[in-house]
Amino acid sequence: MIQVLANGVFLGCLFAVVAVGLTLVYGVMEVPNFAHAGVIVLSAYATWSLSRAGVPFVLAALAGIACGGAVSVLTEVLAYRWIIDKPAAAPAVALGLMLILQNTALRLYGGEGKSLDTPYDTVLLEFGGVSLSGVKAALIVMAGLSLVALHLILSRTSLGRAMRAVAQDREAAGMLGIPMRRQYTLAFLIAGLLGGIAAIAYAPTFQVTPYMADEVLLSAFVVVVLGGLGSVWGAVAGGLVLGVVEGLGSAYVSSAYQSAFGFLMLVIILVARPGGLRATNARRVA
Amino acid sequence: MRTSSILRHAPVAGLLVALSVAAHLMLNGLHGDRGQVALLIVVWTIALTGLNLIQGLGGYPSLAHASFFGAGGYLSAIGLEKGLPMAVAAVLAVAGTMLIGLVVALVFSRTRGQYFAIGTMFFTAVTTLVFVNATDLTGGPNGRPVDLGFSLEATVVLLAVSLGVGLGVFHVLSLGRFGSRLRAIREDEDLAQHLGVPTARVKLVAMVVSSGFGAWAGVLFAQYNGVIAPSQFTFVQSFLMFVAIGLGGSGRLLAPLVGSVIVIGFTQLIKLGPGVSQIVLGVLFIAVTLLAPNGVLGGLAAVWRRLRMKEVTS
Repeated sequence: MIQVLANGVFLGCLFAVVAVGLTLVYGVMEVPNFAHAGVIVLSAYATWSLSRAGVPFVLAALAGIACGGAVSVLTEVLAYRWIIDKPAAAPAVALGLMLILQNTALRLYGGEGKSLDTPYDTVLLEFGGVSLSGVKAALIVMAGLSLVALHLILSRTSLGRAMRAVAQDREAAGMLGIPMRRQYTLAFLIAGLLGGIAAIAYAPTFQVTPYMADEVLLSAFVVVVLGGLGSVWGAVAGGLVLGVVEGLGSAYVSSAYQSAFGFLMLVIILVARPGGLRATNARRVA
Repeated sequence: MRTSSILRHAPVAGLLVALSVAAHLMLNGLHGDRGQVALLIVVWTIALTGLNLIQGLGGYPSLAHASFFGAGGYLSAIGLEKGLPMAVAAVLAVAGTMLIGLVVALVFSRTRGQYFAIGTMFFTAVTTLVFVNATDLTGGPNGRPVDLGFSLEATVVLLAVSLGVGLGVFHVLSLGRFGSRLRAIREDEDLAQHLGVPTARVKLVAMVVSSGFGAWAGVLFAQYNGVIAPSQFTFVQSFLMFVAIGLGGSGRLLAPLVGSVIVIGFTQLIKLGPGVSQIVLGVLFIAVTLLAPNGVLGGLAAVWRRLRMKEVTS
């Protein structure tokens, strides 16, 4: 039971890191960033190819995270920036970008899975009958650290204040002289870095393939709906809840249908509280 | 009055008959890879005609369409296997899929825009899970053979006729009150509701009809192809269907045909190596979304209007 919960927490941390990236972008720009899956895939591949070339894992991982940030910013500069005035076009552009990024990965690295080796592969932590592989423990630690860092940035720095202002009311923030474009770019940069962290944290437990992030992205979207689009703490709490639900479901019902439990949860929420969702539509960050 | 309305629709009716005949000729005349492309274009056009109702006219980005398409194929194959006559299996498959469509619509038509996209996308992911894991019914990840229910000639005729009739049904629906209501929902749902449009019911009907189109296309696809596999109905396919409607021009009569030709053409016909055709498609889609929000057909119509204006003024 505790073992199942621990696995659920692992999944939840993964979902939370991805979902916070999505919700941050949505809060600032109102874009459902389907392309985030492509960002995760590309940073996983960057880490894989560097560590294969003999670069130490830590450096390769840092480069992978940086690559995630860079790709994410690129999507903003090249595509999303041009549809700020046309929110209806956002899902279309996001889907187009996802096609581009995933197939770039497919083109560069081929379709077969690659395994990413880490120095902590063989570590197995045990306390009180619960065993946790080093990879999963590393993910939980990295997720916790990055979310705390994000919280500090958003609540303590002037950059964070500016970003929250933009998320609350774009026009008013613009009138007060907040450089809007920089906020958009910054939101995408943070989202991309978080995506990179998610990628190197969970790629070792699965395989690196062009479609590795699809299911995680779907679950992350459920998390975002759970927590309300645009809410960072909602995303963290929702991530943990969904992770535990999917963990319990796959342990006690059927592991093949793991992400279906997330869907079930989404349906229940939408049936029970369709109005609750609209209430969270008021955009906010942090 | 009666004759004038017949005259008004005569060009469209003629066009649709011509398209059906062209589809029949292409399906019979082309073989091998090209035959496969022709099949896919015809099947997608039939399926997308339904999507054009909910997404094109109604403005609801449904990413569940590939799963309706797949459900039609799988349900009819399973029915045939159980010994039902083909016609019964086909009707049951379409009816069953429309029932699924009704459930999806009941749950997700309460949501809007991006929530709707996310929810329906997730639905497709779940149906893919079912197709892959319910091995004794669906044959698992490698798919299953489909028994021959209709003869091949009958299937080709059905495909060609369905193309024309489907587009005709769409044309009639889009000109009628139902079409205006869907357009009103697309423009401003709150306002539409205020003015007395039963938005919930209209969305529900649009979704269910659209799933019926998808299922029927799936039945014919399974019959012609002889084998179906989960990889043909993943949510990437749903994306591509969504992309096709956007590229063609949302809500326009021929958008399904134009969109299918572009998407199928890029993914099947032009061999640029793995992935590249989809990259090109992604770039093209974004460019069209940014530069010609009404799609290729909308862009062409705008150019045509401008040329006519010049002629009139000069």
